[in-house]
Amino acid sequence: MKKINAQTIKKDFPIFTTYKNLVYLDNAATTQKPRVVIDALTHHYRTANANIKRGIYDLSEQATKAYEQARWKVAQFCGVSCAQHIIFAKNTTEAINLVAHSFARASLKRGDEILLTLMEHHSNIVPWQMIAQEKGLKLRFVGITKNGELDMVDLKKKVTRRTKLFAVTHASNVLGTINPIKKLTAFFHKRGIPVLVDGAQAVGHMPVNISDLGCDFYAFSGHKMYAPTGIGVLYVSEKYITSMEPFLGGGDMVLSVSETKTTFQDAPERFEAGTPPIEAAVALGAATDYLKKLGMENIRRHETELITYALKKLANIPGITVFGPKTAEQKTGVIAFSLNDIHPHDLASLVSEKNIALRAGHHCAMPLHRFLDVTASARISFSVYTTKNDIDALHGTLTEIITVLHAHHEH
Amino acid sequence: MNINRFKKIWEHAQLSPYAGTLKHPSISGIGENPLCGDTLRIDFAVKKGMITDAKFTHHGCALSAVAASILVESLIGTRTTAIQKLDEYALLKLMETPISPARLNCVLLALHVAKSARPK
Repeated sequence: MKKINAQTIKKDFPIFTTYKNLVYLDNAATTQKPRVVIDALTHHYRTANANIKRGIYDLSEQATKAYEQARWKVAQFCGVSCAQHIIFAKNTTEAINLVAHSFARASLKRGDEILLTLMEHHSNIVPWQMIAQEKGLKLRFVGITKNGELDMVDLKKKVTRRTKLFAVTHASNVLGTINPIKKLTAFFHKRGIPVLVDGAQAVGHMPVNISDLGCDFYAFSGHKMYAPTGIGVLYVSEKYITSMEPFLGGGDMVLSVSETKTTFQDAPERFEAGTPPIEAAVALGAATDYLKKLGMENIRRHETELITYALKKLANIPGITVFGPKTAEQKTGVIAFSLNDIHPHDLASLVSEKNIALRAGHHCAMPLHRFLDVTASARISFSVYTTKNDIDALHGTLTEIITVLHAHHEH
Repeated sequence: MNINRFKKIWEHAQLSPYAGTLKHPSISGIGENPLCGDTLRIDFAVKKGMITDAKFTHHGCALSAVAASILVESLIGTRTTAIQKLDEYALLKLMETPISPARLNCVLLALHVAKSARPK
């Protein structure tokens, strides 16, 4: 096992050459891009740019090959043996919407239930609400414990004979909580219920083997794992991929079109209407190469060390409340917190003055914040290039802010 | 935002003489920024078309509280018609500190709430 040297890794990311003092702690929103990913984009434009699939000339065939190779790389990276089960979407949100449209809308009936959890990002709530409203489905939410984990007692209570899908996040984008997906999948499969996993905060931060997890749908975003925006991934299991209805209609997803009728391709083309973000897919392939080289086990260990360090440091800040599990083993590198009398938005403005980028708000998880009984929280999140120095810089700035603001009380 | 400039805002937010509610407001406005959860209520006491007193109650960031405080202060002693005449630029000028685009909604909440004030 290799130890990650984040200081050295920072050199792989040109943004840190442009902004030497940048302390970037908003990786759960999007990660910075390594040179190899930026180079893959420009290399594609310089050497292989053409539209894919239908061009009968070398350059187009080269572009098609690069695009399909990226699909293969992604499949390999997340433990999927057949690349045809990897569908490229715009991002996690679109991938979940695809399932809501092509599976839930097409297969579920009035009165059927979809089980969600209170720790979901809006992208794993809103698509279901929209379909539920249209189809007369019912949404139920599994609660969470005080420690920020799924409440398994509540979960068992909320499963009914009408439950037709369980949609859950792999790792919470606020609490960092890692959910036991393999165990959950086994539980739901025993009852014949398919499982969708929102992997946006997991892939790129820990080893993820979708075949091993056994879930039916797994969605994630490229831009949260060092690839460009505009490319996301949906894995669909063999059981559902052949029966799902198309998503968007248009070019590339059809076999033949007449004035009155269209026949559709099989997956993955069936779900990829129109020209996809070819170069972004290629760059996502490059990002998986980069992560493989670093080693996902190594990355997870690096982030675990940072979580332990940060939790310990933050505990020293007067008036702080840290949300979610308190041990690194239970969570990803995402720590949400609030300070007694400084609103998270004000805090984000203040630390920004010291080149520290953190997130403040509800992080697209309003139901979770209502459960936590706060309107907003501040959130820091880590990645391969995050160093203990970054956490020290945040700690120093928080301490300074609190000292300056409370100075008048002592006069 | 600079810490010393913010400290003035923060202290103002905590010590504002306009914080609170009026017992018998002539008109009141209530509003929120759904995206960040800030909530604000402004009460005005009006006599013969003149704003004689005003208070605000607020839950949220210091910036939105200070905007409410400054706005309310500027309106006391004016005619109620002044409320509708106020615009974003006037309020931002009153703030006397540069507001970044991401924080604009924090400040403008006070304006929207004041403009929505109606008899109870």
